[in-house]
Amino acid sequence: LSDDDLVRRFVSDGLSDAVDVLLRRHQDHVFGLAYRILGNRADALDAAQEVFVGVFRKAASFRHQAAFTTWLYRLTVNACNDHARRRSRLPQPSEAVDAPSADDIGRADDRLAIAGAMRRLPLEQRTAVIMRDLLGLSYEEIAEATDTAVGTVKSRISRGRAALAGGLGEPGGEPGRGPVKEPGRATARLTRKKP
Amino acid sequence: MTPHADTELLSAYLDGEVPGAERAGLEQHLASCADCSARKSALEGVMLSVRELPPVTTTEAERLSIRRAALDAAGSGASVRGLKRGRAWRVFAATAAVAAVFAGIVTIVAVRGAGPKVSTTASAPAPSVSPAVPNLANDADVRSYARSRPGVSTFLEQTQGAAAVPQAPLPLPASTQGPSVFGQLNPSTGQTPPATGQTKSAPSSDRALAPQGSATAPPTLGSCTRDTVPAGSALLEATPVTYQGTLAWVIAYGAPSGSTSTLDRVAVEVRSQSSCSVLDQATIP
Repeated sequence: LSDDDLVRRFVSDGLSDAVDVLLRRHQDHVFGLAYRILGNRADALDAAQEVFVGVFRKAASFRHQAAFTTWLYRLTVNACNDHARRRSRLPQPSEAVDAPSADDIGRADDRLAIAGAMRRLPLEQRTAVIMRDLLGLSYEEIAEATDTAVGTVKSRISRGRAALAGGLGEPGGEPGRGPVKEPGRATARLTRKKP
Repeated sequence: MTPHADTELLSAYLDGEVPGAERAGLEQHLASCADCSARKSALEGVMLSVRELPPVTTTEAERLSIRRAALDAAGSGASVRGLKRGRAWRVFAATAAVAAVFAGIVTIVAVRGAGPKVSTTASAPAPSVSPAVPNLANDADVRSYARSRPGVSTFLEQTQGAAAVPQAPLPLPASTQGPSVFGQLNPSTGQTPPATGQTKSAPSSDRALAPQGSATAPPTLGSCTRDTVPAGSALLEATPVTYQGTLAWVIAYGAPSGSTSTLDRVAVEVRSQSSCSVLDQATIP
């Protein structure tokens, strides 16, 4: 059964297997996306819960012309934005991120560096880069999920990547101006040859 | 000489989002411009690094928390107002506590009213267990109680070895037919769970107070297990307990833990006897 069919079945039958199948299919993606955007598991879990509460509350109003996953990602992005906004209002420093998890300490040395650099990106740029490079969504899909124009998505991804590369600068040799603190080191770590 | 490419164009080019004519011009320029070509490679390196970030693993506990919130939202329906987004299960916990007080009172009334022969243990399926309905307070209690049940322990023994085979669903335990303080637990009635569109506290207390044979009968264990046990899983045990003062079912079922269809873990749900709502969940790996 497609996601669409499952949503229809939930709307007509109420609590049923459809709920569990949808959860099994998507909870890991939603949690993963929220974790990469928010940077810590507690917030990601809160956001993922909100997403699925939203899915089942709003299932009846889901327009089936849009892809279910796009709707799901849209709910996820909104939940993450809410969380980030709430967190920024708190008196604590906004760098509330988990210590690097076992996931991030791996074979490659630059894995830690890239995960850290990602967390320093502005929220919109981080979200766009993750949706493009980790989820493989098209600009169109990202625009729909983040409620922006395709041109904005293009620019967010480009600025995010430039910052991750240590501030590329524009043609003409202007020095880096990205928000990454140690451009030299980051560039050395993150810039790699083609495979 | 063609103009240099800005970062945005290079980035879009790498994503395959630059249309044909423009792309051809850009490729021509890249072939001859070392500066643009180097910036393109740097962007490409970043893309590859991001792509190689390992997938985030969701723990079983996190999955259960998500499921609990989702089920609560799914069960309460879109028309329930006043439950704040994402806080639903916390509100529900408070509601359950209130309902527990009602249920406690009802238990006493029902037991007294029915005479000395009826006790809350009348519906316990296994005569060998302690005569009192077990009183559970948290996940750990639920787990150790579930482990002690014969259906669950047999299942665990069978699956502890290498060759775990899918279990055929077991018949509902005798408790579904047995008398209970509610007297409404016959699965053959095909009673459905409470209608949506009401707040949680009202139906549970109303139903608990309803006399036997009333139109507002609580859901049967039969319909409750239908809601609980997902397709492809096998019901192992469903026994009555008190959970934090509320009369509840402990429903244990064998479920697959990964993508395989092999049933290799025990999922346990504690559901209110009066409304079938989820009070707690646990797994036994």
